[in-house]
Amino acid sequence: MEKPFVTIENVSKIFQTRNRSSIAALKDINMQFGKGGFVSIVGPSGCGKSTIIRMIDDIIKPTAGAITVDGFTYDNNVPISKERVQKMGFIFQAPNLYPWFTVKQNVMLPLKIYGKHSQEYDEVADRLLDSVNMLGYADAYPAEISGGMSQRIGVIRGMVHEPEILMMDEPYGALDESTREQLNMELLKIWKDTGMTIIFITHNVEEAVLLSERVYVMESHPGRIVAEINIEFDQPRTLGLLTEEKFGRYCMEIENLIGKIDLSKVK
Amino acid sequence: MTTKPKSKLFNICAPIALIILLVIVWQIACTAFDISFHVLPKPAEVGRALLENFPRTIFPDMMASVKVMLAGYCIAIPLGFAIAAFSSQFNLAVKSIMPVLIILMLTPMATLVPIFKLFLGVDPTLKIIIVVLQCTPVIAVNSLSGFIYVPQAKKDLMRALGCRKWESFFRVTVPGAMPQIFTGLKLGCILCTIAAMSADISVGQGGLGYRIQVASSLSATDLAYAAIVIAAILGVVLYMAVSLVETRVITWK
Repeated sequence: MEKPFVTIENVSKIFQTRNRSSIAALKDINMQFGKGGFVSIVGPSGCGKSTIIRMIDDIIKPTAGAITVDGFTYDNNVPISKERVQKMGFIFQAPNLYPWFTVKQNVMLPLKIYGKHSQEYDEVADRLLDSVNMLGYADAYPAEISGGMSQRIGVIRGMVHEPEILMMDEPYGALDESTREQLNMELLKIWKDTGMTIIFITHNVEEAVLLSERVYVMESHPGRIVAEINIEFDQPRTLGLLTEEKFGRYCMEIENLIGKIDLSKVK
Repeated sequence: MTTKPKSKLFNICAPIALIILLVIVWQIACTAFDISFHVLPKPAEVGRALLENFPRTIFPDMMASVKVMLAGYCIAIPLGFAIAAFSSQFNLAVKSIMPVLIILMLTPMATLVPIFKLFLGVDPTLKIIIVVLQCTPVIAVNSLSGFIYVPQAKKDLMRALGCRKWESFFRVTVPGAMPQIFTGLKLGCILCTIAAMSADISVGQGGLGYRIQVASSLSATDLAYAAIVIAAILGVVLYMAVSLVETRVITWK
């Protein structure tokens, strides 16, 4: 098997609440992500899906365990360097745009921080803006565009600096179905063109099956992996897959796993 | 789009019209109720006193007050900002310094002049110290409020982009806190005018506050009111200048 690009070994995360009680968000998580792969993580709310990618992107530190990216194991007490962080892109659930920047300045923010000021990157930003039909709004401020438009800007901001790993935290949750499908297809195209490693968090089982090569299914309280399912469809994938019987079987399998979790919680 | 210039003109004309109306009411009330010159001179008399005394008395006093106001305000801005920036980095500092700043903000600093005179004598810098002490806390309190209420998601994005604490502070916290910082700066310039006038009265040695006190004691109430009018205009001009900078800085609202 190919050497994994991102490895998570026995990672646990405990959060301290304000009233000094502890919440075990993740317990003994082991995951591997190959270079250039597209892997989704699905599971119920509060199972720690977002926490996993936040730890990979060094936004938060694990309480125990080791995270290794491209052969470098993070120190659990020291933030990783900017040089390493810029190999990764992170797309948040909310657009998280800065109101004092225009749409294009928001998209260009990672380039500004990483000192990438070339004409080439400016063209990358324009191309991405065009891909989400937002080039005409480049000089608008976030307060002047709709929530869905803001979300699209948040998505392309995460990939403007052409990261090697793209982490997406339920990025299309606030979008309508047609925009979602359009962006999913655009994402598959970008993935194919760039060879990025994509880790995709979603609630939507169909979306996970349509996009991913592999799906991790998680359970909550504490967050842990309950299944790892390989999705064996040829590339490039199209929306036509949605009607295939095999697609339905994958969705059913995952939904059953998540359903069992919910039932056990009721007990 | 077409209503915008009209509303802008209306915003300028409405307060001017109200001021003119109040001056007319003032003039009529003084005549109708036969109010004594020593209590409330007519606006025309105040205007005459202003024109007659402006070159020799009011202008030098105005310049003395302007120097104190600007010197104090220009020291208070970076000082208040630095106190807020430093405190915002430590939870303990935020918790401990906020009540102290609020107490200082509410303390009329001119009341400390007699105590300061014991140490410094009647020194011209004493007035500037009063202005600095009065303005700094309000600038610091408002800036600090802005710095500590930046949403966590905005900070998370900085962290996701590999920015450390101070880079994140200048890239996100400061721009995000700009509305509160300008609230502090505008309150600061109001307090700056009040503090400068109080300092003139308490310390003496020129300035509009000193002129108001001297003119009142000599029953030259027209001159006292003329000096009050100039003091009010100074305050308004400073406030408008800060507001103008605010509209240039906060362009996204």
